[in-house]
Amino acid sequence: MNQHGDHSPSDGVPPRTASDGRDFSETYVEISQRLEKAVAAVCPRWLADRREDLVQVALLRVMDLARKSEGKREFSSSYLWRVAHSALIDEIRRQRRRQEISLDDDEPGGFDFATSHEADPEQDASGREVGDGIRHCLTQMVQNRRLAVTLYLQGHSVPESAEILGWTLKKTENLVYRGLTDLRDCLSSMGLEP
Amino acid sequence: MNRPEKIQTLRRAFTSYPQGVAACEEELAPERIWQALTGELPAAERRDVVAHTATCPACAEAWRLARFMRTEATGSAPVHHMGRGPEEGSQVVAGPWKQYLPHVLAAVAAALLITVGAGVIPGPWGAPEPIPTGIGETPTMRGDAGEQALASEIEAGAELPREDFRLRWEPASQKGARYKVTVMTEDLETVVTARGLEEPVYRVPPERFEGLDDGTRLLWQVEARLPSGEQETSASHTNVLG
Repeated sequence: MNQHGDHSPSDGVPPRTASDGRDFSETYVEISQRLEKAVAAVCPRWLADRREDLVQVALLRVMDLARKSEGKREFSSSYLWRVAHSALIDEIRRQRRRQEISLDDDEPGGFDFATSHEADPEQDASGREVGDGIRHCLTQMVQNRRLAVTLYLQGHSVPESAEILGWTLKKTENLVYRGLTDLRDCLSSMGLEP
Repeated sequence: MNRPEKIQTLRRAFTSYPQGVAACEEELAPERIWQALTGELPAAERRDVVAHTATCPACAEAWRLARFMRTEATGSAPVHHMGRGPEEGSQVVAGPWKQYLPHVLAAVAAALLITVGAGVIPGPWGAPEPIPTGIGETPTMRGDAGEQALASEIEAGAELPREDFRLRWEPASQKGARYKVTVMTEDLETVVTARGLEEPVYRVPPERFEGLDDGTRLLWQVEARLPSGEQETSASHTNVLG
């Protein structure tokens, strides 16, 4: 431990202070809580039920990176958020691949209702069909409409979408409108009704 | 099911990612998704990332996670500053002219409806509902459904000379109004936006038409800010560049 009370990299403990002066212990707790909330809010239930494991693995990676980087580069709390996101996504993808393999082994035909935590398998299958239909219809759209509608379906407002895409508000608004019309027509032609 | 409910249903279906759905073959690096969302990538690359999430549920999920984490961190929706304005700025002449597509007229005609009826547009499903723009603007319209505010005083579709492309419209319902005119091509590239006009007339500077061929159909729309604070918006008008 150095004169400031911070641990050095050699003792295996993650650093306590970021380059912006924030206490990392608070940051780590905050990151852990934020990751849990994110997984609970965004991921499907079967994955969200494993959020503690997901978050633990992600957080360990963040701490490990911080420990290895101390003294070699400056990094801030905001950088840790970025790392936390990357670590979480990597872990989620690893879990999904593991699920795909186990489903292939146990249920070569398709959805494993036995392990699914979705409330209604029929409803879930219907929703999945519409979801697949939406993704198919998006591929049929002209590019600009596809981009605008994708962000809209992801929950972004029109101003947010305009800023992300680098377009004017009016252009984005019109593209969302036209894109949703295209989507409706396409889904109807597939016999899908949202 | 009304339109907002249908939109929510669509969002739920698009954002669901059940077990057993295979990830895309080329998943994006999480770092890249984060950079696109935070505006660290150039606009063209951001668009590439968004395009990928359209068909890859895994990367779309990663995008939502990043957005959620940033929203929670900032305590508000991540309306972030990209460090640059929109690439197609409202005062910038449009890029190369794009080939006229007949169906664009039909789409534009539909877009005209956006300006009719106090900011309400007829949604793809069900009764008219406003698109949630998040900007809280509700322009008021003068008159009933049959009367258009700020009507053009130029014959619809008439050709106007490039050197004297002068737009004229009926004055607003109140004296002292200030007008804003937006001129764009049929594929929605902005040619020019003029603000603070005190008279219901505007001559488009000829240099704004650089790169546009004669015969180009141009759309223009007028907004009037009244002294009372209300706003009037015209329908979209069409004239041809001569």
